[in-house]
This record gives sequence, C-alpha cells and structure tokens, in this order.
Amino acid sequence: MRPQLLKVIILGDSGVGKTSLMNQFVNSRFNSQYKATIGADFLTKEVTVDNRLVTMQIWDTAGQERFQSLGVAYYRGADCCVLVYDVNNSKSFENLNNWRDEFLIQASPHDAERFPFVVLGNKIDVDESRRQVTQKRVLAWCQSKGNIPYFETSAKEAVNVQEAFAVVARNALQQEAEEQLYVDYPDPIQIDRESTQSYGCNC
Amino acid sequence: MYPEKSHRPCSSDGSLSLSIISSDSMVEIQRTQSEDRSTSVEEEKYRLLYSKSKVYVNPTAYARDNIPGFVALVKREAVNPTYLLAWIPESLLSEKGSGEWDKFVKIEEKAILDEEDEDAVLIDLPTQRPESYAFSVPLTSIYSLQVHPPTLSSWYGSIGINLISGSTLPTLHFHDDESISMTLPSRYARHNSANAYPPSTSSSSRPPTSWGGEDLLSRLRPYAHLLRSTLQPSLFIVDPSKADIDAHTTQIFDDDAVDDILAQSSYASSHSPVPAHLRPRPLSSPNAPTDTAPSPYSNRSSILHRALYPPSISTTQSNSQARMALLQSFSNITRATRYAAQNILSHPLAKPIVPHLPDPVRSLVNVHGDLEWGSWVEKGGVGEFESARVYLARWARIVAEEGDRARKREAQAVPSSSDLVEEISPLGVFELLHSTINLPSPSASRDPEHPVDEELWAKWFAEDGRPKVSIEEMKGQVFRRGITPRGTLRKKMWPFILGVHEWDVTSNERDKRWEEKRNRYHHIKDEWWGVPEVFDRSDILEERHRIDVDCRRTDRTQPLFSTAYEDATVDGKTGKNDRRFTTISPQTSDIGSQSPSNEHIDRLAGILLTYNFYDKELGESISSPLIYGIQREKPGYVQGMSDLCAPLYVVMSSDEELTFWCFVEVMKRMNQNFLRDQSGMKKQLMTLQELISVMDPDLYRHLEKTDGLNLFFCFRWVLIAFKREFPFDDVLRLWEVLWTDYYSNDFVLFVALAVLESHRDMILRYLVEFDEILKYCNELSMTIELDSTLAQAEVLFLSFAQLVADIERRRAEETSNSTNGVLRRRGTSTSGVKASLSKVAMPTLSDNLRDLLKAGR
Ligand SMILES: Nc1nc2c(ncn2[C@@H]2O[C@H](COP(=O)(O)OP(=O)(O)O)[C@@H](O)[C@H]2O)c(=O)[nH]1
Ligand SMILES: [Mg+2]
Repeated sequence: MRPQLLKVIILGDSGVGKTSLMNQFVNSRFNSQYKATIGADFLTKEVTVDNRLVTMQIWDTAGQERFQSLGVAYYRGADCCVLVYDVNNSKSFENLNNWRDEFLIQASPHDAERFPFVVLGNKIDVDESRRQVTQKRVLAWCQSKGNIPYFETSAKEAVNVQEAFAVVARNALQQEAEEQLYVDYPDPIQIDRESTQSYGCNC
Repeated sequence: MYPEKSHRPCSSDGSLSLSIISSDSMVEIQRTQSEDRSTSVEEEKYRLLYSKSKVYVNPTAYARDNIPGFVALVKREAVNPTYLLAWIPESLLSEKGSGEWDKFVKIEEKAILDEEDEDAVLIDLPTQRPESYAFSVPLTSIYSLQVHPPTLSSWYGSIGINLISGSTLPTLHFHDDESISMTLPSRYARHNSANAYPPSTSSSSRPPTSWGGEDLLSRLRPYAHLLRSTLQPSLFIVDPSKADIDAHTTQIFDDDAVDDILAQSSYASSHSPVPAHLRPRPLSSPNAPTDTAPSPYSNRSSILHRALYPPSISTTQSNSQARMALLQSFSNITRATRYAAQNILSHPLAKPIVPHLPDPVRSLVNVHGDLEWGSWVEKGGVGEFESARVYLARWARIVAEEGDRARKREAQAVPSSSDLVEEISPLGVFELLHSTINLPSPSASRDPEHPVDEELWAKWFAEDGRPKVSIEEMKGQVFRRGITPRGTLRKKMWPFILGVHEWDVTSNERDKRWEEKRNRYHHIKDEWWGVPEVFDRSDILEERHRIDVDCRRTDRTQPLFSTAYEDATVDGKTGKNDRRFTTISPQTSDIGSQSPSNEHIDRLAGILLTYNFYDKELGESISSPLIYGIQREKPGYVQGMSDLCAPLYVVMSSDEELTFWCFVEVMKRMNQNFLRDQSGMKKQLMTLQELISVMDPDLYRHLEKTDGLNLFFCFRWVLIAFKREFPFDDVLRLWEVLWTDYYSNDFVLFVALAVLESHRDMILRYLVEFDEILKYCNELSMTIELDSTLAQAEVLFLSFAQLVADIERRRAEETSNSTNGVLRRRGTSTSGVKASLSKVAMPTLSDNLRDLLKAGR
C-alpha cells in the first residue's frame, strides 16, 4: 500500500516561477539559476493536514503555453491544481483562463465545478511600481471561477509559500476524499485473525 | 515473611511483582504477592501517570464484540521504579466502582504528565481474568510496537505490542472520536475555510499530537528509547539493542547465513557493453519456487519478512500482492538507503564482492570510492564490513531469485495479445535468432581516447583547401574518435559535420559561399533589428519575452553566460538606439524578477529571434502539400531551443553568424521535435517504443504494465538530444557523434535505448509505477557515463541491423515456401493456407523501425 498520496499539478506561463515555488515549498530554497523545465518532473513532501500525515506529489510542468499537451498522463488523478502567474506580467494573468480550461479538459475530474484550484500571484517581492495586475482584478476572476483561494507569493523571499501549499494540501485531501466516493466501497477493517482467535477462550 | 530481597531477584525490571504469564498469545496479570500486601505496601503502590479512554480491543472481526477500555502508563513505586503499560477494560473498572473510574478520567483530563505531582493518583491494578484481555507489562518486556496511524480507509489508528518473549498482546485500536482527551476543545484542530484572502496566518491552535497512538508514544518516550525502523516505518523498537539498531538503521535482513549466496549471484554480469538480457543465462534456476508454493520468505523470521508476508494474508491467493509489497518496499529501501549503500559498497573489504553484484546494486558503488575507503576503514572496521556483506548478499539473492521467478513466470505466461513478437518466443525474438543462427555478437568500434586533432584535420586537406578524404570517411572518424576539445578544432569542424560549409569544394569557393550566408543572416535579422513596427508588435513582444526568459536561465555556468551586465542601467533605460534592439526583453527594466542578462545572453536571444523569421520564411516556402502532406503550423520559439543553441554559441566562440547557421542545421534535424501538435515527438517515442518491443520484450511488457509505454520519461532525452542529461563537455562530444549520422539518422534513439538497457534490471525489479520510472530517469541526469553508453548504443544498433536482415531473409524463405504450398493445395481447403500462414511467426517491422536503418541525409 502506498501512503496517502495527494497529486498536485502546477500550471502557468513559462517563467512565472512554478519551479521556484515548488522548490521553495519542498526544499525551502530559492536558486535564481533554475533551468527552464523540459518535460515534467515532480517533488514529494510529507505534510500533516488535519492531523493526517499525507504525501504531496507536486508536478512541475514546462510552461510554454503553445507547447503544453504533455497531456493526460500527467494530469490524470490530480487532486488539486495550482495556477501561477507573475503579478508583474499581465499576459501571464490573462492566460490563467487557458490553463484552467486546459487542465479541466485533460484531467476531466468528476465534478469540474468543484474541483479545487488555488491561484498564486508570484514575484511580489519585485518593486511595486512594476506591478501590472491589481489585486482587485485577480480577486474578481477568482470569485467568478467559484471562489478560488488566492495567495500573493514570493518564491524568492519565501512569502506565503508554505501557507499557500497548506491550503493546497487541505483542499487536495478533501478532493481525494470526494473522488473516493466515486470509486469504492468502504474497506473492511483488517483484523488479524490469528492473534485474535487465541484470545477468545482459554477460560 | 520473605525477606524483601527474595521478592525481587531481578528487581531491575520488577518482573516478579507482576509476572506475566503468556501462553501463546494469552496474557494474564498475576499478583504473585497478594499475601504480602499488608507488609510491603510500599512495593504495591501503583501510580497512574497517564490514561486514555476508548482504546478498544477487537477480539473478533465483528464491531459488536469490540471491548472499550483504558490504556494506561503506570509506575510501580519502589526504590527502582518499574513502568508498566496497561490496558484495562471499562467493565473491570466499573466493577470497582465510580471512584476507580474517576481516577482514570481525572488523569486523562490532565494534559501534562507529572511524576512529582503532589496528589498522586494511586490505583489498584485489577486482578487478571483471562477473558477480559486486560494486561499490564513492564516497558522493559516490550520488544516493539507496530504503529498504524489512522487513514481514510481505516478510521482508527492502532498499536500492536510485541513482547520480547515473542508473544503479541491484543492490538489496541484508538477511537479518538469517542475519547475525551482527543475531543477536548483545546486539543481539537480547528480549520477555517481556506477561501479567505489574505490567508489567516494563525496556526497557534495546532494540536500537540495527531492521534491517540501518537500521544501514547510521546508519553512512553521519557521512559524508553523508541527507535523507528527505517526498514519498516510503522515499526518502533523499544529500547533497541545494538544489534537492533544496526538492523533497523542500515541493514535489511537479520536472519540466515549468506555465504552460499555469493556464488549464486555470480550470474551477474561482466563489464561487457552488451545488455544483461542479451548475455547467456544460467540454464537452470535451482530450486526456483513455483507460484503455488508458499512464499520462500514466509518461514523466515526477520521483521522485514514478517512485515512483508503478514500471516493474515493467505499465501496462495495473494502471492502477487505479496510480491508487489516486496518490490515496493525494495524500491523504497533502494531510495532511502541509496547513500548508505554507496558508502557500504565503497568499503575496501567490499571490493571482492562488487564484481559479483547485479548491475543495479553495483551501480551504487561510489565512483570516487577510492578516495573514501580510507575513512570508512577507520570509522567502520570489520563490523561494518560484516553488515555490509550480509546486506549486499541478501540483496543480491533477492534480486537473483526475483529474476528467476520472473523468467519462469514469463515462460509460462500466455501471451496477452496476438502480437506476433510475443507469440514467437517468450524470451524475445532477438534471443531466439541469436541462439538458432549463431550470429556473431557485434562489438563496439569507438575509440574516444584518440580524438581527431588539428594535425590529422590538416592532413585531410589539399593545398587549395579541397579535402582529400570523403565526407563519409571524415564523419566515420568523428563517430569513432570524436573531436579534441583543445583549441578551436570544433569550431572549424562542426560547420562541416552539420553541413553549414560544403565539403567537396576549394577554400576559395567555400569562403565565397560563406560570405553569402553571412549576408543572408543579416538580411533576415534586419527584418526586426532597428524596425520598431516589427520589434514591438504584440506577437513579437510575446516571442521576445519567451526567448528572453529562457536565455537568462540557459547554461549560466558557462563563462560567456555567467556574468551580468556590469552597469545596471544598461539593462534598459539607456537612450542609445542599438541598445534598444540588443535587449530582447520586452520589459524596459526588469532587474529583480529575472536573473540578470549580459551581452552574450542578449546575442543568443537575438539569434533565436532571427531564427524565428528565417523559420517563417521557410515555413511559407516549404509547406506545400507535396512536402508535408498537411501544412503544419510553425511553432516559433519553443522551450528547449535555447538549450540547443547555447552550446553552439559557446563552441563558435560567440560568432553570431556561425552560430546561427549551425543552429539552422541542427534545427533541420530536430524541428520535428518542436511542432505544435507534437507529432514529431510522438513519432519518435513511438519508434523507440517499437524498438524496445523488438529488442527487449521483457522491458516492453513491464512498461506496459506500469502505464509507461508512452515513454514520457524519455521525452527530455529526445527533445533536446540529452542536453540536460550530461555535463556540458559531454554534450558536445555526444552531439558531434549524433550529427555524423554514421549508422542511423536516429542514433539518438539507440542512445536512449542504451540508457534504458543499462538500467533495465532496476526498472524491471523495483519500479512498478509510471511516476517511479519518471523520477528514476529524471534523476539519472549527470550520472550517465557517456562513452560506455555510446558503445552500448552502437552494439544495440548493430544487433538491431542483424535482426532486421535476418527477419527479411526468413520472411523471403517463408513466403517462397508458402507460395509453393498454396500452389500445391490450390483448389482444396483454405484452412491449410491459413495454417501455413500462421506459422509465419516473424514480427512485422514497421516503417518506423525500418527507417532506423537509414543513415546519412
Ligand atoms: N524576484 C523574483 N523572481 C522570481 C521569483 N520566482 C521565480 N523568479 C525568477 O523567475 C525566473 C523563472 O523562474 P522559474 O521558477 O524557472 O519559472 P517557471 O518557468 O514557471 O518554472 C527565474 O529567473 C527565477 O529566478 C520570485 O518570487 N521573485
Ligand atoms: Mg519551470
């Protein structure tokens, strides 16, 4: 048996900081020398959510918006999708719609309406004057998509990264529980017959 | 009256005052000294230190039979106090009246454990009654705890208690939802809906522990050392001995002697570049267990074995399940103890064993082992070696046994599909051919120790610059020997290998044509350079952003790219016109959100942008239906292109025009990888898949089972020709070999096959999920030895070519035979024809596979 595994997919335009966020969350490190992600890779981290130890498997993808269809194999079974944009780049925000649609098509979750997304506006450490996307605008979008939780983060300065992924984990766990309803019937509690039988008599 | 001493002959654990009788698994508490109570009251004081309610014992599988009770930590007051772990059913407590019950509740409510507390709560440990399951045992009599936290599928966590005597106490199930201590408001985790922004940062109300069992463990910790086993993370050893610590920190097994195993494991390979499955195998697999026999491990006693084959699982029905468990735990062990294993293998005393190890284990031998041996001798001594040997030998045996069983199983397996490759032989067509027709084993021809150097290069040309050797000869030399990294020979030779320069012309002619190309480059570049209407057009802005972002994070360890512009203002706001166009980034100034750029990075970006314009021209001129069938959208810049271009820029020592034209040639070879519909990548991975199915059916079937046939774990390898898998200098050596098209235009696929083959044992035996294989392959990056991989790729190619030739020959024979047969039987039944056709068991080779034999463009 594998331990409880939560699969999380990070999507967003190239260069918005997906790889940096993942590394900041998992390894508490920032390295300005990350290479562009080619193909896909994942990191895992054990976290405690609602008193439960779970393993998060976080999938980092190549972010070229025109070269994205690594497809179903990566998206299948996802429990939460993290959408990342760069607050200093409005185009990357405008593309969130496409990323969300793409995800829903590829992963085709049972209940697309309620599938958990989390939106991260990254690079807030950069000078305020460069900011291109207002909070109001993002919040309006998040609201229109079913109240997606939103965080403003900096992978560089480790701002809000742990907090954001804690929410990712919790929502993923809920999603996983809901998906279970579709697939199985309850596991019978395993009783170790050998050891219990011998306790019965002998009186 | 007995003198006090005689009451406690081994008073250190107080086992006399409360003796545990255990017959099989029945445990009773006996008050052996009840008649002493009046005289030795001090000894009989039991102080309740900790209690937890609603801990159940489940005597049967039915929930209605579950017995609720209290688990308690009790201190027997004495000069040498004894600490006891007890479980008392509620029924026993209530018999004693509310006073006794209240004590347990009081202690449970008191969150902190305080031995020195004034008002000690003394309890009466209940007398034993076998049917009540009650127990109390000194902590010192407990060997280990099997801890299972709650999961979504089983709500209640549990703890099993194994005694040193070998018996097991009833498993305790923690019903935290009923237990007061776990439902008290202060301990209960409150989680607000996460939808609020900004997110709440308060995490102050975290419960101290997550579930009842963990709480209990934390209470035991002050009184006993609990060692969590690395082999079996749910197992906690109580006050482990030195041997336990060894066994549960690095070692895997602790039973049986092993010396004979080393001999058995000698099936493992030599240093031949031929993949293991192509080498001869032992004819017999002695005592290989059959599938219906009990698991060979079930009668062993190590904790790992017991954990892997719990008696509750019936062996016949769940053999495959148990095997899965074994493989999975091995894959975990492999990862978790990789470094430990590396160190162990680097021990000098391990040296004689290493050649006998299977490849996957051997690959753990530290490449720099020689340097570290000294320190390991000092640290470890012979003891370390003993455990290392046991560890390795057992590992080797498991691997060997697994392999034997897998082979047996496959030999018996009914082919799952009507695939001809499978029908022909479960061992694979390849081995069949080798065994029946005795083809010579091909061998590698490479000689990377003696690369082509300036002297040899000069000898290949006549006075007028016309070469004296053929271009095939030149490429063959490069394939076998490579090019010296010294000086600038690569800069001279690469344009020839790639076809930027023509081969069979005089230097005058060549110079003239080069001049044309130079001009052509600037002509294309001028489409955007200095043309704001183009340069700042929105689609170009996006393209500039994409290119810029990637160039800033490509090969930044290369000296040309490692520095930043010295003057920060350069990165943007200078008024100079040419700076305006050298800075490809669309953001006027973006210091801080990107790695800083420099002049070479900007020039690299400019080359890629220019290629965009060249490519567009090209796209328009060649997208006629005759050439491509359908017009494919040109994708423009795609991630990965900067990785292909940067090494060219470095080797061409930042010569812009040379880099550009080399890049054009590289892209001619690779642009199918970057098509928007991904058809090119799909086709290549499909071809690789077919190649695996022919060359290594075992691996193919394994990938099929693990959902890995899409070969996405080879995606990066193929997309950018292993650029990310080797150190920069090796990439240069690999690429010049690939560009020669010496054996095959798609030699890169044979390199991919070679890498997979050298890790196939590991993949087959330990990796059972798609994501595990992906992770494993991604992590091979920078660990692959280039020359042996190329040697293996060559052997694989030659073997493949032999195979194809042989299949063709046989097919020709078969068809002529069967045509004769048809002629003879003409007019009779058609079933005869069918029968003879079905004997044609040669695999059909797809066009994709046949195309692999094409060499030279
Ligand atoms: N200032 C700043 N730069 C960042 C931050 N996160 C990432 N970057 C930089 O943005 C660039 C792209 O980051 P990367 O993680 O590779 O993005 P990805 O393509 O989305 O994976 C790199 O140069 C990072 O150093 C951040 O929070 N603040
Ligand atoms: Mg990335």
